[in-house]
Amino acid sequence: MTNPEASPERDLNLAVRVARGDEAAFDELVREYQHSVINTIHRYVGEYDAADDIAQEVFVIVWNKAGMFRGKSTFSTWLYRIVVNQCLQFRRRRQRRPAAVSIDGFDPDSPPEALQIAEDREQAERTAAVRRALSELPDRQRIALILSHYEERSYREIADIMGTSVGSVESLIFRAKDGLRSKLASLK
Amino acid sequence: MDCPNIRNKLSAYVDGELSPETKALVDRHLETCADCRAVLVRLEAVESELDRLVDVEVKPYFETRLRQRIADRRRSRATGWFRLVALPAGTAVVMLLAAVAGAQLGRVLYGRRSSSTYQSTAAVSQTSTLDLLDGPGGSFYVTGGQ
Repeated sequence: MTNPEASPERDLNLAVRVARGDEAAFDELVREYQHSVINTIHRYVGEYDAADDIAQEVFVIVWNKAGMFRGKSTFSTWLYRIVVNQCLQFRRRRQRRPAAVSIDGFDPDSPPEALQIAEDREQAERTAAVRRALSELPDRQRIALILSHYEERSYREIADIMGTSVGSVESLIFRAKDGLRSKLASLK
Repeated sequence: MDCPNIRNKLSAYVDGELSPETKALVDRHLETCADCRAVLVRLEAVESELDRLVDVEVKPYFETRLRQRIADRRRSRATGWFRLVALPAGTAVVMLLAAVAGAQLGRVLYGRRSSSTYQSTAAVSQTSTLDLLDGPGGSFYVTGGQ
């Protein structure tokens, strides 16, 4: 989900202003990216409250570290490196305690949109199964898949965000989809 | 390319990420390989499964809460700086000043006492001398240093 008004040049300009402490520029960047950032994080962590908290932290980092953005990559790539790092940190913290996604795949913290939209229980269960299968993928596969499928990032961009090669991204996404396919096939 | 290599490219193939040359290579392989074609069909099915996860809305007051968080963080950083650096440094400066002031005060008081002791000793000496000279025979009582 990218803002049609967004452009790398505009983002760069805003980021430079943010580095100088321009709150209005920061608000613009937040408004532009909050939806995609929170959805990326939510798909990764599977918990709505945690996703909100991590997204807030991402933007706090943007505010504090905007001066470190040199424009070598696009602002969006830089931002998503922060997103990925925060997601991985959350994951590491959570490894010490059980995941909040319950055994039937229903996340009690999630907002009810998915269930409201689903036509019937079968559809809701299938949606929960997809969410659970996604949450069980290895971290890097999951991130690559989310950035590709939901954020519609090119493999080149994903490689830049994840600090890897395009070939690795191809492999990560293929294995992610193959893994999902086998997890979901067992439910049929 | 063999099947494992082709399959690694299939996701990029579905996503339209391959160069025209590589895509042509995969197309040619798919024409002759039923197994890889089956994998391709399964990958495409996964795409539609992924579409089930709809977007969530941003939690209310996201921007207000964010501004609050940044302000809190700034405050706690300032407090932290005060606690970790300014407070110990300030305490050290106060202690140093107190020590210097104490030393000065001590010097003044000690100096004053020294001179008054000197003066009293001199007085006593003088008295003693006087006593010795003028006392009515009991001059040793006066100079006995009691």
